[in-house]
Amino acid sequence: MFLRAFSAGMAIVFILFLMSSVSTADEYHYNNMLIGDRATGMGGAYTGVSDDPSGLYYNPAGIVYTTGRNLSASVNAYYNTSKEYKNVIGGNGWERKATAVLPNFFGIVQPLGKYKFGFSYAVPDSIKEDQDQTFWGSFPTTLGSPATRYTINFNNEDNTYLIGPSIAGELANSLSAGLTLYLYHRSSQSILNQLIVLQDGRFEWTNQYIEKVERGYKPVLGFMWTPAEKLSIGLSLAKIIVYSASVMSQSILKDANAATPNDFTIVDTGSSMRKKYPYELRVGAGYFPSSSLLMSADGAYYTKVTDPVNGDRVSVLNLAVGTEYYLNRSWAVRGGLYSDMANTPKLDPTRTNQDEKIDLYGMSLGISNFSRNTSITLGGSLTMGSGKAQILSGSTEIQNVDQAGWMIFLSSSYAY
Amino acid sequence: MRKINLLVLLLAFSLPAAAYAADDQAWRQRISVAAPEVTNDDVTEEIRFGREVAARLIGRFGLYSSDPLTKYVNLVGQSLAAYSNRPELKYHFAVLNTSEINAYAAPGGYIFITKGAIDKMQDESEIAGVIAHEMGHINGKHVVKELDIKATDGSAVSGLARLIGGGTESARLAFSKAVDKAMDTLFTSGYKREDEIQADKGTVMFCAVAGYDPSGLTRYFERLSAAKGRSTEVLDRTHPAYNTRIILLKEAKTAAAIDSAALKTYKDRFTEVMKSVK
Repeated sequence: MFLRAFSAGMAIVFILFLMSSVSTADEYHYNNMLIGDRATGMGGAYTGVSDDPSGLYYNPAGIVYTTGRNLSASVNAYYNTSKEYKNVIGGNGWERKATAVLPNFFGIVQPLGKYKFGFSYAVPDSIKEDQDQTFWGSFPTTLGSPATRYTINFNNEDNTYLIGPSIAGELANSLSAGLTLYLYHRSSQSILNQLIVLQDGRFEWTNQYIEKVERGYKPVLGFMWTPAEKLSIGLSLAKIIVYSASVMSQSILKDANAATPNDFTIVDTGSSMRKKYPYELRVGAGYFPSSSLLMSADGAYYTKVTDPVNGDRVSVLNLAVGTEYYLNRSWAVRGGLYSDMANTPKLDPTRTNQDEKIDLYGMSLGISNFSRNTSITLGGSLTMGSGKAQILSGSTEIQNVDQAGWMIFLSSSYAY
Repeated sequence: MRKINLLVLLLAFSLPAAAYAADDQAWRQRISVAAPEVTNDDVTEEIRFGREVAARLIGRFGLYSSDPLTKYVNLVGQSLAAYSNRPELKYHFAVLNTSEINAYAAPGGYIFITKGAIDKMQDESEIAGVIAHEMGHINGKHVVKELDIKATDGSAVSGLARLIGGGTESARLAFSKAVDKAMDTLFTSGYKREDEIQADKGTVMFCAVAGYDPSGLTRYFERLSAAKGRSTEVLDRTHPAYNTRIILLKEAKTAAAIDSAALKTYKDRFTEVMKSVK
């Protein structure tokens, strides 16, 4: 995405190999990180359950049914994702890897009179990339001479934070409602350094630094309905509303066709265009056949977004199913399956600079050990998918791309 | 968005038609949080908690300094405590130095009667009735259950959980907040209505078994009912109406088929002690 901004800023496409669609976070999916220990183990199928602090994120109405006077939970996770674009340059692939180690959730729930109050912190998206790659060979260019070396150094850090209070209460015997009001903060910094050495001795070098900050809020309104014994239906509606944004970029180009070897161009740009986000409607069901077994299913629908600056997004429906089984009072295991569909349109072979489209599918597992007031959970997830990308700027070429990711987490929760 | 609006409306309109009267959603509770057995550590924690509440009560009113009265109230209390269903507790009784008419029970066996309340009494069975009522709160674990007072988990899992999540400070904060909540129960919100009724009903049999006239509390309430004022402000705010309580006490006595004639008020003993106090 930022290279598209770069190209627009420079007005000219200087070299063939500039990547057109290197996003600074995974903006093409909405389900980048599962949140909460129990919820993650169940593949995020939690809107119809939500009866612990994770509910503050998925469906705040569910915290009405938390057990225990006070509850808190925290999750520490390690994420690893990799993406391989096939046949990018001279038959070579280009691989992007990202890792993140972070406490991605903390939540506390406390009753006060007829209501339950909560406070939570969540990191629904975080990425840290630090990589370098050099291609050697003979690659065609538009610069009058083939390239013999192409080096890409890429550093990127992009984090999204949500933090805020919640309140929930019973509207009727079978119906509860809850509201979480998150403050939204996203910040990213990225540096892309590219060097092309041509066969005739000339070289072209670009360096780009981009810093983005978005501030806003994300209200999450939820309802939990009990239509029959042992069955609960959850519904929540959320949307990120950005009230301030800034994008600052600095691009430095040493053109291969410059009049002298010391000629270079510096372009500073800034923007306060606010990114648009979709409405997020989650509907889920939880079935509690016994005190040892729980089954759940979720559907999360994200509306279409028209945003000419940051790219249009198509509507997305993600599905998840999960289950939890208590082996005994001290041990429980969880499992889940989920989808994480791309919010980008199908690539058109007649167009250029299109966003990649990779539909992802994942599975998760978790195991918890309970003592009297506390529990510890160890779990993880695995996500895989393949799709299409158009990684080269100004080219109609479409590449196949494989994406895989895994995550492990360790969490604790208290009831006191 | 039209599809979303339609879905929300559909759900909203379908609620009244198919609502499940879910007063009790115990089926949501997982096996891991089922009520565990009470341990010695839980009792220790209850006593520790009660001591903190007792300290705050004493700090608020101060103790009435009269050895004869304190000794007398303790003797009455211990005669009832001998029949308590919680032998693991050691009961402590004291008189608070305030004209306010009330009595308080803190978890773990700490019971206080105000000097104002004693001044309104006319015999020993009335003191016994009030103490028996307060012991009912302790024996029924009304505060303990409401605030979920239990021992800190000392298991290895709990230790690791604290290491991951930094729970020590949270637990300390929770303890302090629970004490605040207990004080709020005693002075503002009161016990649950069903807890008060249980404590009142239990008084009848408790007093009778200890040899006291079980009508003592009834007579005391009848007197307070006629003397409502500032001194009963907290009592009135935190308890059911006197008329209701009096009816319940009489019904409980009838149901228990207790012959009051065989039981004593110990009016003379009470009068004798009160002479030395006044």
